[in-house]
Amino acid sequence: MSAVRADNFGNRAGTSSIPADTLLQGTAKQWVHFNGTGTIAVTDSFNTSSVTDVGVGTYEPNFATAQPSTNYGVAGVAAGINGGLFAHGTAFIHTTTSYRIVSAYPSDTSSNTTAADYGRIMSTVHGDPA
Amino acid sequence: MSTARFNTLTDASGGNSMPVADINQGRAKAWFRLNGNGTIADIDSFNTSSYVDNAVGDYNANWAVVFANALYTQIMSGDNVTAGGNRFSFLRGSDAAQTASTVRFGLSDTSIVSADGYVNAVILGDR
Repeated sequence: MSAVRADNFGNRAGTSSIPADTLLQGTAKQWVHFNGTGTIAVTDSFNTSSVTDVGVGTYEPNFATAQPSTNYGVAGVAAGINGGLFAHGTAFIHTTTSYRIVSAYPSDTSSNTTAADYGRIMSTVHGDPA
Repeated sequence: MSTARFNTLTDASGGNSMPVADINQGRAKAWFRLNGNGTIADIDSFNTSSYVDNAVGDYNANWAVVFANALYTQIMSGDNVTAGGNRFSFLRGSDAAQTASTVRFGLSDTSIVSADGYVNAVILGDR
């Protein structure tokens, strides 16, 4: 296997470059787009072995290759005809092998929400390279 | 055009190693920050050719280089730093609203009413 070791990578003209650590740290370490209604169907993904259906509007994407630590960040969206909300709180499962997310809709104008399944749920993870 | 071919990228100390295939999958294929107040203004972007103002808080982004399919992931957030107030962001419409060349999305205010504002998005997928 060939490997390139360098501090920076640049274009040939020398007009644009990026530090190796920025490139390695800045790439997503996992992402998944799935249908959370009925039996979960993964639409497309990277570094995702499966998505577990925990309950209504509650899911756990599982990493194909585990993260080196639990210090990664999670972001995402939930989408349906009427939109949706996405949550990943510190009270949720967040391990080197999976993390829990919740999709919901706003029940009222007082910040209350109700968990619900959505047809388009997307999440991504950024963190340290393995 | 020069092309370097290799399997793994590593920093000079030998740490932080990643396969090139993983870097390609993990890198953003598009991103943007737009101001949807009034005429849509592209504040900054990558691989975004234009935007469509469908209605209040209802937009499309068109990709400069289209994706390989419509299966990509779009992560978003909303804000309205100009006029004040928070914004929820969400993907609008059915699955058909997301194609290889465009995606529809929107904003609402905290009363869950469609509203204009700023949209920040990162897109990951096959291109």
